[in-house]
Amino acid sequence: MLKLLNKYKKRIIIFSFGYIYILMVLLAPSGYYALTPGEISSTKDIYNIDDTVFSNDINTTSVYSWHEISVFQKWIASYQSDIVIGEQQETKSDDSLKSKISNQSSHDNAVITAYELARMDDEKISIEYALKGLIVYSFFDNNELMIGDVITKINNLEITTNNYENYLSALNLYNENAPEKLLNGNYNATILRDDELMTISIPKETTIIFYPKYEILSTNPTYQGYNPENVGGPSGGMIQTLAIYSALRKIDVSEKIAGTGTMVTNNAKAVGEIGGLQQKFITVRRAKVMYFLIPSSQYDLIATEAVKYQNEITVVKVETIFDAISFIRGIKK
Amino acid sequence: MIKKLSYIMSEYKTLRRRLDSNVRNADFFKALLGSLVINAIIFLIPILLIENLFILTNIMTLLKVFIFIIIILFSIMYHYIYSLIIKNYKEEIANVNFKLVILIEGSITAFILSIFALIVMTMV
Repeated sequence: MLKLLNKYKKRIIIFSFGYIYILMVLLAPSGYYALTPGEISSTKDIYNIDDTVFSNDINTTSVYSWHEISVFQKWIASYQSDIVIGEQQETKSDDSLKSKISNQSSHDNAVITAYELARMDDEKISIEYALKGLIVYSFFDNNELMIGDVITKINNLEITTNNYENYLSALNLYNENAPEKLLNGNYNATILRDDELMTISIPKETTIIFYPKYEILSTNPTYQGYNPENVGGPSGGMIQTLAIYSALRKIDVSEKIAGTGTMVTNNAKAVGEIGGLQQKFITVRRAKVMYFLIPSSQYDLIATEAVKYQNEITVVKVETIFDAISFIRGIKK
Repeated sequence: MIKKLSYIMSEYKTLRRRLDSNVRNADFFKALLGSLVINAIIFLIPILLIENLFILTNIMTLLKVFIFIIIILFSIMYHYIYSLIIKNYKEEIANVNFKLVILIEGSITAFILSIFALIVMTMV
């Protein structure tokens, strides 16, 4: 064996350089992440609500998120129009925690909003819930906060309302024009971290992005919870609300529907913006979906493709959940 | 057909016995490690290339097929290199053709690894 190695020494050394170079290209992280078209998931098997059948083909849309792509993957992605890349700023564990927080909030928002809307039409349907706090999703310029902290009190003011807009308005901390749920100002926050309460002082320069944390106390028909999925993030909120609402109100549609957009539990019941809309459009087109519901403010991002493929798929712009409900009522069997 | 199968099996057993009788524990470990290392060097780049290419979601199914092809090639190549190393140490079996042993044992290894890969793929 050694004789053989000695005989081909030069060739082996040259080959090793090439081999290691290729290995580095395939393994070395580029410091970028990528979003690629993903898959649609049926809402039929997600929620467990007594005496309620999810018969409609309503689907959430997800994209695949690739963390820390390699140099080779970045090179491939730069030649693909359906892949978007960006600089990786967070660790995988932070990203995964944020994804879990926003997904949990999205499910709660969907259940609460759907029950509240269904209650308007049918008095037998009811829901009792309480706003327990504001869960920290992200923050800037602060060393004391952690992702996942729950702000239970601000300036010692108890949360006595279910509406976070009203609570923050009472503290003069509500920013109506902010695109996301932002918290800015100088205040003392009582936070719950690992079952322990602590008070920290938040300086003016700190910006917090939060999600409202609700506790569902009672429901009729009884909501038994949801089955965990292999997806994260809040983008399924609107379509999940629509699925629960149509099941509670027994609105049957025969067409295959998919959608994306967050469900904001504010007074307007707005549908919030999401990321990766182009990739989601490709996903639903591949899945042969008939109607694709998106936040109207983001239509411009896929306007060209929507017109190009209008014979295959109809893009429905929605501003609030009421628009989505009107749409589904319009196409019911 | 049955006759042919039993002939193949008896041929396989004879070859296996011949291989085992010539292999001491030290030779076995040398051949096993050597075969694994050479196989790792051969298959590392193709496997990493496939793993990297999963970013192209429209060819995912094709890539999964490639994984199974690589599993089959790896299994057969492992047994081939194993016998090659043994032959290198034992001159008395240097001219014996172990093709049948390589194919039968390679197929069994490929089958087991494929089931394992299938379970992993359905879970991810």
